[in-house]
Amino acid sequence: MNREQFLKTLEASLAAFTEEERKDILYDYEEHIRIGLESGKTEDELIEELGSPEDIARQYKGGSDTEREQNLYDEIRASISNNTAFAEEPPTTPIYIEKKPERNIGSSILATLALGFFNIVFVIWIFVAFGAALFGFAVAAIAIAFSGLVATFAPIITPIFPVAVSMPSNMPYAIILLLGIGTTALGALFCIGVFYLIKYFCIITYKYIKWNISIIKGR
Amino acid sequence: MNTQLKKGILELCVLAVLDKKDCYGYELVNEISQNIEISDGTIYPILRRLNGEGYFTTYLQESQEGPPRKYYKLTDLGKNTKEELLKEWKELVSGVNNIIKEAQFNE
Repeated sequence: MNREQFLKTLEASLAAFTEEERKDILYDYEEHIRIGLESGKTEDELIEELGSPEDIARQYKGGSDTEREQNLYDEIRASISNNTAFAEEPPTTPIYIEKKPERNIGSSILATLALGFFNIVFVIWIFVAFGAALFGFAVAAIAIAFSGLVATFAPIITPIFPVAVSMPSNMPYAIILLLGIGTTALGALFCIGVFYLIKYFCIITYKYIKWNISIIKGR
Repeated sequence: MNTQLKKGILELCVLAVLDKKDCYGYELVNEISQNIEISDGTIYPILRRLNGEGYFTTYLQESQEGPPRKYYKLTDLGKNTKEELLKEWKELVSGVNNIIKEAQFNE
């Protein structure tokens, strides 16, 4: 939308006003755009920042928000007037229309920068250290369980992978079997433990990220 | 934000800016929209309404850059209203802060 379209639309939306009032209102926007252009902004920027002319016109047309909310309430009440219980209820609570939340962009940027700095200097290393430790634990747990399994099934596996797996010749298989089962169980326990650690790690990470987002959004 | 509340806050902002010095519309709008995220267009309806309430007077003053600009000047009524609104605002903020602090503590 350019300057002319903006002013035209605004003028048309202000049809309820007298000629004089309309001129008076439009003057402010003409001056605003003029000075804005003088100070180096583009027409597009200025129009964009002013917002929609229909919305602006609505704000001039009196009708405070409470009145509008009351009207909305009456409309809703009328549309479901069959329900007598509701119809007789006095309008104690005004109906609020959900609006886009608005926040201070400056403080939001500041919060983002501060958080970003804190995250990079501090949090990320803790995150990496814990992540690496957990990864190591997970690998160790799987390796222990795997070696237990190999020992348990040594008589079957040895002929298939003669180079990789060999049975100690001076040890009866019963002992190897018991050792294998024990190691497998140990590995499995270790796996379960690591699984829970990773789960809590993920939960904490998730909560931390959520907290970050809530700070940035300024709520 | 509740628009009724926002309107009240914007009124206070307009009056506070004009209490410091007389402004033309663009200057005033800039001052406010630098700090609060709103469409520039929402300020002028407020200016017109407050003008109608007699909170300020307007005068035209020549500028070096071009045609004259419409300046807004706070009246005594406007000044008093600003003080009242400011007091209400401070009470509201400290009240809200108290509630928030307690709520965070109980979390």
